[in-house]
Amino acid sequence: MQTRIQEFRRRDKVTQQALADAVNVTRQTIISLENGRYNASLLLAHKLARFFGTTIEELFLFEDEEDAI
Amino acid sequence: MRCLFWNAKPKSEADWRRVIKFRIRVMLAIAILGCLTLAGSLVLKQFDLPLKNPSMLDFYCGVGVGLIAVGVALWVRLRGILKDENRFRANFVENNDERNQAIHEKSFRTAAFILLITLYCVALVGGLFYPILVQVLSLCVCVFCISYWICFQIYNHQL
Repeated sequence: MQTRIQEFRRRDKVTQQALADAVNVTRQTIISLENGRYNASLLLAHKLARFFGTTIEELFLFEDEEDAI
Repeated sequence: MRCLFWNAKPKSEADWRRVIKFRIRVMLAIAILGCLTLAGSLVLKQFDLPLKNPSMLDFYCGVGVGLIAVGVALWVRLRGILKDENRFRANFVENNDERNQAIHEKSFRTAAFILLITLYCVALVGGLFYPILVQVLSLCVCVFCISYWICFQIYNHQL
């Protein structure tokens, strides 16, 4: 699944490590999320959305997934 | 027993500290078990017992030494984690990281599949030379399958 985490992170000037620390995951998880190799759980998606002050729909791109269905 | 395995999911650092303390006790128990195994096999070696395969006592000695080594090494490592606050925090995050847990579950599933295939192949080929192998390994596969079915039924009701 594609995400806009990198875009939001650059906008807020947050490093991957700082974001990882804020949501209690490893930096590798943030890298995998940004690359679309790993799909976040609902809880992690919620934490990330709350960190950036946005919604899950804004942060995660569901269009491609819906097309696949 | 859940605390023993990777998928212990503590909600706070205090919970994780309790899990590590429990694991330290388990490692101590493993080291003691190793001491008992080693001592038992060394004592039995002194007597001239009519064993079918006397080299098994050497094997048990090795198992005892291995258990002691693993128990002590992990005991030291876990105590180090408890004492160092930075290492403890990193360990907590690493354990709770959902990607790591997903990797663990996927690896476990793959390993279980490979184990079943290996058991089947060993039983098939080994059974030609040692028929008892077929019975023992088939029993192992049956226990695995039945355990899986029981766990599935339990979790199906729980979740």
